[in-house]
Amino acid sequence: MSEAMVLDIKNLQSHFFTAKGEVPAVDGVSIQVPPGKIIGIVGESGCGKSMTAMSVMGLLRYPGRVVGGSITLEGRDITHLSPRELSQVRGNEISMIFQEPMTSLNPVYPVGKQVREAILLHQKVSKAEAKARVLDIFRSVGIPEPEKRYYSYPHQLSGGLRQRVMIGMAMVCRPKVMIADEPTTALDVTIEAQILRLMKKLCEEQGTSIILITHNMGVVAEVCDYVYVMYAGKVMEQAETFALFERPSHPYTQGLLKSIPKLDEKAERLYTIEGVVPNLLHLPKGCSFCTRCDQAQERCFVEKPGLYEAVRLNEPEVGGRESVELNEPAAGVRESVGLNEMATGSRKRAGLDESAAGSQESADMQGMAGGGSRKPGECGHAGDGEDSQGRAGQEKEGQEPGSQGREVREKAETHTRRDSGQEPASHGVRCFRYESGGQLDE
Amino acid sequence: MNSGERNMDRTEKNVALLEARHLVKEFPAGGTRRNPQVVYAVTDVNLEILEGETLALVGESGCGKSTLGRVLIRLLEPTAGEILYRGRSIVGMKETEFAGLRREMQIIFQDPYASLNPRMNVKEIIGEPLLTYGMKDKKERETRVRELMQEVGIAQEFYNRYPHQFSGGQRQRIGIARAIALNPRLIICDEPVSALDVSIQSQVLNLLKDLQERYGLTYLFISHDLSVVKFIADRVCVMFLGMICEIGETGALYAKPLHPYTRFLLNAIPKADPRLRSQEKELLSGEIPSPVDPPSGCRFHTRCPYAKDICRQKAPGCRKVGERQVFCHFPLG
Repeated sequence: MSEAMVLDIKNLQSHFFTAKGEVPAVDGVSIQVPPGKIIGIVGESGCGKSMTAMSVMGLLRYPGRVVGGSITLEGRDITHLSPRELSQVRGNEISMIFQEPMTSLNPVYPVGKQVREAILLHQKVSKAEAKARVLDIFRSVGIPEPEKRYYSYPHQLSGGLRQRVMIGMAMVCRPKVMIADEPTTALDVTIEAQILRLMKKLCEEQGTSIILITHNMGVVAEVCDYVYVMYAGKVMEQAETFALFERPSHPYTQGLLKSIPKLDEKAERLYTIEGVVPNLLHLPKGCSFCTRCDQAQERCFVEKPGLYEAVRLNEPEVGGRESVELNEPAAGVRESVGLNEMATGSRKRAGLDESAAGSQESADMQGMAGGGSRKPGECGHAGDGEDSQGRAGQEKEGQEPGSQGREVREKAETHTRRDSGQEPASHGVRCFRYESGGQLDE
Repeated sequence: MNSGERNMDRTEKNVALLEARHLVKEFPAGGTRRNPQVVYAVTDVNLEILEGETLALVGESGCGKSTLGRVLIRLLEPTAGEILYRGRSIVGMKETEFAGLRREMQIIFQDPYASLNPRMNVKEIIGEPLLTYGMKDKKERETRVRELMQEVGIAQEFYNRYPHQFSGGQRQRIGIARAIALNPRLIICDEPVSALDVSIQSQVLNLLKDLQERYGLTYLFISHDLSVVKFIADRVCVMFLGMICEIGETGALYAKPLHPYTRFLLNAIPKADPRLRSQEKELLSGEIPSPVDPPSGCRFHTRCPYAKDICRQKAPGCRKVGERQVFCHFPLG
C-alpha cells in the first residue's frame, strides 16, 4: 500500500564515521509522505531532522553515509543511485530549500538566471521559454516586479524575497516532493507568516508534498498535516497534527509542548525538560530519552522501546483530559468521527467529492472498531502502521501495484488520497507506556 | 552591597531607574561626501525603565531594538538626547565618573557562542569583571566565582573548563553568571534565548526570573519572540523602524493591542494549536522599509491598511490611553 505514497522512507539509518566512533545521526527513521500533504519533522538541534533530509537528497558528505534502510520515490528506490542518476532526480522530482537563503543562492549571478538554470538542466526548452517560466513562477510566489527582479542579485533582495526566490527555484520543475529545512527560521514573524501561507498555497495548487523541518511547534500547528517528532536520531512520536496537539503521548512531546510559553496564559514558571540532549556517541542503553524523562521506569534504562500505537491509557493524562478505556468501542468511534470531520473539512477544501468522503467515513469507523481487538502479533511492517492494513487493505487491492508515475499519483489524489487507511502515520509513540497498543515497527 | 538591603528599598515600584529622553542614534552608511547616507536606527525615543520591572523591547529585525538597548547603557554613544540613570544624566559623563555606574548595568548577549572568549576558561570569564572592579585576591575571587556558578546552575567541576566544552544553554548560563557577578541593578538581555532550543530556553527563562526575584534586578528584555515576552515581561514596548509604536502593561497589550502594527505582529505568530489556524488571519503584506530611507510621517504607513493622508505627512505623537502609550493617529479600539 505504500505505492500511493510519493515518498516512502523506511528504517533509514545514516551514520557518521568519526575518529571518536560511529555516530548514529539517523537511527531507523520511517516516514511516509502522501501526495499533496505537508509533513512536519520537529525536534531540537542535533536530533537528526536535517540529516534525514540530507540522506533523502543524497547530500550526505564524508564521513556520513546511509548505512541501512530504503528511500522510495514513487515506487523507485533512490537510496543507492549513482551521482548522475541522482542529479536527474534532485531539483526535478525532489527539491530542497534551506534555512539561510543568502548562503544557498550564488552571489555572482542574478537570481532569475539561477532559477532558469534549474529548468534548463532538467527540461529541453529554449532559454526564452525558460525565462518566461521563471517569470511565471516569480509571480506565483509573490515576487513584485518579476521582470526587474529577474536581474537582481541576491544581496539586493530582502530575506523574505530571497526565500521566495528559493521556493520558486524549488518549485519551478514541479517536483513531487519539496523538502524545506527550517525555511522560516531566519525570517521575521510577519514575513514568516507570509512564507508559510505561500507554501501551503503551492502545496494545495500543485499537489506537491512538502516535508517541513522545523524546531517550532507553532509552525507545525500552523501548516502541517502530519507530524514526526524526532529525538536523538529516532522518531519518538508520529501523528496527524490535530491528534498530536490534542493528545501528545510521548513524555518528550508533552514536555516540548509544555515548555513553550503560551500567549493566552500567564505562567509563573515554565515547565522544563531537565538535562540536555545526550551525546549520540554515548546514548543510554535503553530509551534515548530515559535520562531526561520524568516518567522513566527501570525498564526504560535497559531496553529500547519500539514504536507503539498510541492508545488511550487508563491513567489520567498529563494534559488533564478525560481518560477513556482502551477497548471501549464507543470511544474509538467517537474519535474516528472527530478525525474524520477534520479530514472531510480539508477534503472539501481540496475540491474532492462528497460521496467518496461518506463511504470512507463508514469504512473508517469499521476499521476503528476492529482495531480495538487487534492482537499485537498482527502488526504491519516497518512503520507502515498495521492499523492501515486492517482498515483499508481491501480497498487497496483493486489498485494495480506495479504502475508508477503520474497515473498512480492522480489516482491517489482522486480516489485514495483522503482515505484514512492512507494516513502515513497512525498515532505512534516510542514509549513503553503504550506497549499495549501493539508495535508498529519491527 | 547586599541584595537583601536592595530588595528593601525596592519595595516601592514605579520609580524610574533609567529614563531616555528624545534619544536618537544614527549611523553613517556610506554615500558620498556631499550626499552622505545615514541609517536612522533610533529616532526620538522616550522611554522609562522602572525599578525592579522587566520591560520588553520587541520588534522585527532592523527595528533598532538592540541599538536602543546598547545606547541606553552607553555601549554606543547616542547621537542626540538624554539618558538619566537614577536621575543623573549619563550622556557625556566622564569615563572615570561613569565607571562606578557601569558596574550596575550589565548585558547578556544573544549568541552564547560568540560572546564568550574561547581562550578563557569559566573561572576567568566569570572572574574577569570581579578583577576589573578590584577583587585582586585570588582566593576571594574563587569563592565568589564558585558561588556564582552555583547560582546559575553550573556544576563546580566545570570550574576550569573552556566554552567549547559546554552546550549552548550552559554557555548562556556562564554569560548570565558574568553579568550578575558585580551585583548589578539593570541587565540588558539582548535576545538571550533566541539561539537556544525550546527545552533549554525554558530553563534559562526560569533562571532569569529566579535571579530577578532574588536580587531585585531590573531587566530590559530585547526579543522578537512575543510568546517569550509574554512570559517574562511586566511591560512591553513595541518598536518599528526606530520608533516606538506602543508601550503598555503586558496582559493588557496582548489582550487589546491599540497600534495596528502590534495587532499584526500578534496575529503573525504561529500558535502551537492547530485549531487556531482555520481562522483566516489578517497578515501584514510587504517588507520592512529601509532605515536608510524611512517613509515620511508615520513609518508604518507603507504597510498599514488603515493609513490615511495624515499618516503620510505627520509622525504621530504620543497618545495616552490609561497606562498605555500609543503612537498612532488612529489607534484601534
